[in-house]
Amino acid sequence: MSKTPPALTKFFLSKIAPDEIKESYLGDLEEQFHLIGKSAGYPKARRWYHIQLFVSILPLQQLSMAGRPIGKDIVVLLVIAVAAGVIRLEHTSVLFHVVELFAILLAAFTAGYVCTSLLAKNVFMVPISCACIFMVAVLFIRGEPEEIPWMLPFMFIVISAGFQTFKSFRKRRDQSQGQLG
Amino acid sequence: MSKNKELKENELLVLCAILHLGDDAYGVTIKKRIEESAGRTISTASIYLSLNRLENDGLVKSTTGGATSERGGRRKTYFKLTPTGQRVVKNSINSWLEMVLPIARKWELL
Repeated sequence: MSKTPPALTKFFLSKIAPDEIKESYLGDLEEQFHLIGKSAGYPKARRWYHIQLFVSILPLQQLSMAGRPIGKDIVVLLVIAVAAGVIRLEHTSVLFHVVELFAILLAAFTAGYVCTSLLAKNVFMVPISCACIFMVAVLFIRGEPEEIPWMLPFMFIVISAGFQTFKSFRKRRDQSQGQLG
Repeated sequence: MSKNKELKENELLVLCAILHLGDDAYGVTIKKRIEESAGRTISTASIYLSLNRLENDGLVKSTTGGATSERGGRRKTYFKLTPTGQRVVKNSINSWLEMVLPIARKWELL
């Protein structure tokens, strides 16, 4: 039986843990893994380590999102909801559709943050994000006006993913320029 | 950072654990102290979430420690209360005692 933490679980934990705490957090988990291994056996320690992935997702995502300015995103969501409501003006009341769209977008907002935090951690997700943006753009151009509001949550998730990935690249570029300079 | 900040339960537990542990307060020891004293399990990630909030509020400060082979060569991050953090803990405990002591006396628990 291996006396090292499960490699795949460790890989996923390293991807979702924010950079600021990654070293100490993974070190703490490994230390606890060995403590449990020595006292209760390494099979139990491996099971414990796997469980840490699931119990850590929410707190680590909250950590990743801490400090992000949410206010601007709320304004963007409102603008999109009003614009989509205006597009559907000829069918039913604008107010109803604005409220409906805002509710849908708020639900997508939360899902979007989780997705974008995960996507921004891995540079290999960039081509996937670009492919998703292209696919949604094609659907948007070819879709009927009635379908546009239902595409908006997915557009928000994809656009947020692209934006987060761009920010991640810019941060790495600035850091490497700082090191060269 | 307001001295009258209301601490969440996890945050108060983390602060008290850091006070108990002194110079040896890092993720593993804080978790162990909370689980032994409060009788409840808490994930390491939740502790780091609380520590992040406390550090952003200026109640704790962190320093980097040494690495060991049990940690896969990764360094520890130690935590200590700031003077503001100590004041906030004192205020929280005082508020709790003001609520609890009269009831304890009434019920003749003291």
